[in-house]
Amino acid sequence: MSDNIQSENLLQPEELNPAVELTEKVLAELDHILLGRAALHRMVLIGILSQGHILLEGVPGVGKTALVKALGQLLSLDFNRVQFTPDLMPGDIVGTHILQQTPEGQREMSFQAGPVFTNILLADEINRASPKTQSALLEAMQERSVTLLGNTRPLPTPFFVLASQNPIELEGTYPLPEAQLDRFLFKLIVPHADVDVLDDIISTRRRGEPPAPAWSMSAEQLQQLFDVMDRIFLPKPVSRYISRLTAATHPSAPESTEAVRKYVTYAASPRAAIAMAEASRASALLAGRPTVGFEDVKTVASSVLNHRVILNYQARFDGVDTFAIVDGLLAALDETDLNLPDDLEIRSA
Amino acid sequence: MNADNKTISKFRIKMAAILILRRTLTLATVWGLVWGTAIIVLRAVSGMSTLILFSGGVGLILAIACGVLLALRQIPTRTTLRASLDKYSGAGGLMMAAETAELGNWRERMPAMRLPRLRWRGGVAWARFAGAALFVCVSLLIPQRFVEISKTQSLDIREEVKQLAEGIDVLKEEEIIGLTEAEKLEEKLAQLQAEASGEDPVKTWEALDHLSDALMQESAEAAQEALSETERLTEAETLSEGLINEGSEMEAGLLAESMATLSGLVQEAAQEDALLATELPDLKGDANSLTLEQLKAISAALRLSKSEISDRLAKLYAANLIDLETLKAAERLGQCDSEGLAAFLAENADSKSVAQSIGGWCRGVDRGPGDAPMTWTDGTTEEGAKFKTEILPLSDIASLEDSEIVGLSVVAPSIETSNPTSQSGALNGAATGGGSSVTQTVLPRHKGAVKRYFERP
Repeated sequence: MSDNIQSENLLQPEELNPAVELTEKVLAELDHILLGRAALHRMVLIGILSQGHILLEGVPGVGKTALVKALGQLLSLDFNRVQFTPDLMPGDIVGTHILQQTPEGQREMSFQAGPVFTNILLADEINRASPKTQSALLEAMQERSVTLLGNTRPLPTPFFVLASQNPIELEGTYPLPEAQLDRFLFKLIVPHADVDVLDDIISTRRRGEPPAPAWSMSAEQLQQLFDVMDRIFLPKPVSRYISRLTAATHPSAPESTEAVRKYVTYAASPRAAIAMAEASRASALLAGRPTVGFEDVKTVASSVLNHRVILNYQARFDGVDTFAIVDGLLAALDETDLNLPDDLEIRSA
Repeated sequence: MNADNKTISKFRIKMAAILILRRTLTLATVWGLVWGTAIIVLRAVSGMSTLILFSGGVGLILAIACGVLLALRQIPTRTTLRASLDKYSGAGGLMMAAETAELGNWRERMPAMRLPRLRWRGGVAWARFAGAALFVCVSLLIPQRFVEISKTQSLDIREEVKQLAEGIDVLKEEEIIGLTEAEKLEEKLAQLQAEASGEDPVKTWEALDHLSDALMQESAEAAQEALSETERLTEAETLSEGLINEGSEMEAGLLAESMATLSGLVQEAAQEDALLATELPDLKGDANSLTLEQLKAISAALRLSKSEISDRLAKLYAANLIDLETLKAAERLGQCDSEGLAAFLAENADSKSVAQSIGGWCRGVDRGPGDAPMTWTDGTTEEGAKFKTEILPLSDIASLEDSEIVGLSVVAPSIETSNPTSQSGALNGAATGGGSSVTQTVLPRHKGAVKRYFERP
């Protein structure tokens, strides 16, 4: 992918519109299946279009698993679910070699693929597995392949890990290491449903069971979306803004805010900037634009950065979370980098 | 594309204008403060002409040029401005993409490029610039005398000099000092005022004190002469009044002596008092027989002369050259009642002359000059004096060791010859050989102490 090539062939409306219609259709189906989660559905679809892994965090019963299952049905992709428990072993995920007798009567070690060999892997309550098992996913998430006994096996394309974790019942859990957190494109908070949504659910759904999707996207259509994604144009000022925003999460950066200098221990990695650029492209696609704007970056920045910025204990004492830090950065940083004096301001006409 | 570029150029020019104005105003303000300060310093130190100092305005042009250069460096690039326009127009990146890519059909769908409003809160900058400009104007227009720095700081002794000058004028006017001496004093005072320096005020104050002492000395001498003159004139006036009122009751001889004395007193005074000399009637002829008219004229002349002396003293007092006591003394010396003078003169005619009597009449009887002769006799000596030796009894000496001073007396100590027995001790009152016992009274508090001693664990 090259911006120079893009600049000569900006995606035209007639090329973009079918993709936009597809995304709108997916979103409409998701909104129909799971009520009151439009914003979350939008972010999840952005994550899928970016081919990134998503960590869903929410208390039990808010629809995390249902969302992933619905997504798997809508996208017509293979879907495996692994319930992570403390005694889950790496081999239970990536697969193992077993001794088998061949028709010729000989015995040989054959590879039994684990549940990771799928398109969508739902890692339910991922923080309940031991770090050893969690680490088994590192290569799969980053390289999209599994190496066992020296043999590297590619995973099916596309491959997404949609993990869920419970912010309560923390006893007996293993917090995800930063290296693994960094591999998730988004960490999305699944909130409680409000009264109207709850009313809709219990009045329209028998036992709360979501309806089956009336339509599903084919693999070709999904590939078409990925192709369109590749041609979404990222202007230079926007990529500059993403870089500045990522760099500003470092306490020593010149553009960092007072809150960053006070509360941040570890800042976002370059992988965060790449993730933000990809997610911004997907956001632009959902908005029906062939180019990424500053507003797309602002849309995805919080979800990209909130699990990558590690705060110190002072932040805990002061009740400051990463969302507040990122919001402060978005408010303080001038998107266009005009560097105007303090007494000079620009306002919309 | 062209339309976009025009809009961006327009926006850039607008921003450049504001940035240039802002930067220029700041530098002009700084230059104004520097220029104004330099003007004041140069005018104060070297008294430089304001016309020459106007040339500092060239610096203002340089400041403006620097401001323009700095502002031009601060103007954002076209790409940045395009991004800004994209943001404020809500173009979602299309405007930014248009810089490097052909929009094609998107150009029709792209929102119109709107120039955002640039707002500069320049109130403070303008106020500072106005302050600096005002400072420059004030530093140029302020009169030279307000900015001049005197090389030597003068001492303000105007009040003291004025007072001394008044004193000299009074002394000159009353002819207490001569014109030459007055001129010398005035020159000295003027020199003192000119040379008065704040760096060495003690010297100036000492010189002022010296001058003041000189004036006071002259005044004191003049006042003393005036007091003597007043006393003499008062005696003569009293005698003349007495002769006018009671002359008919006096004996012929006493009358003649009195008139002769009056003539003598008056003529003696007239030799030193020009005014009196001019006012006195013609006293040629027999000094022992003055007419009533002559006596009245003499009395009037004496009063006039006394009044003139009194006025002179009043002026000296007003000029702080003499004190109030001197003024009151003059007033006191100028008062003498003539009623009963004839009888007094007649009473003392045998023992004193009229001149002596009139002096006693006005001054009254006093304790005299007090210069009694001191006589010295031989000094006292202890030779031949004998003192009786007394040996104090031992018991008394021993008892003194434990004694307390209850008072002091200037009388001789009383000596008791008896040898009293000791009154204290546990065996007080006991006698030997009689088989008697000693009864010791134990006080209650002692009982308690003994009881506690034996009951202790």
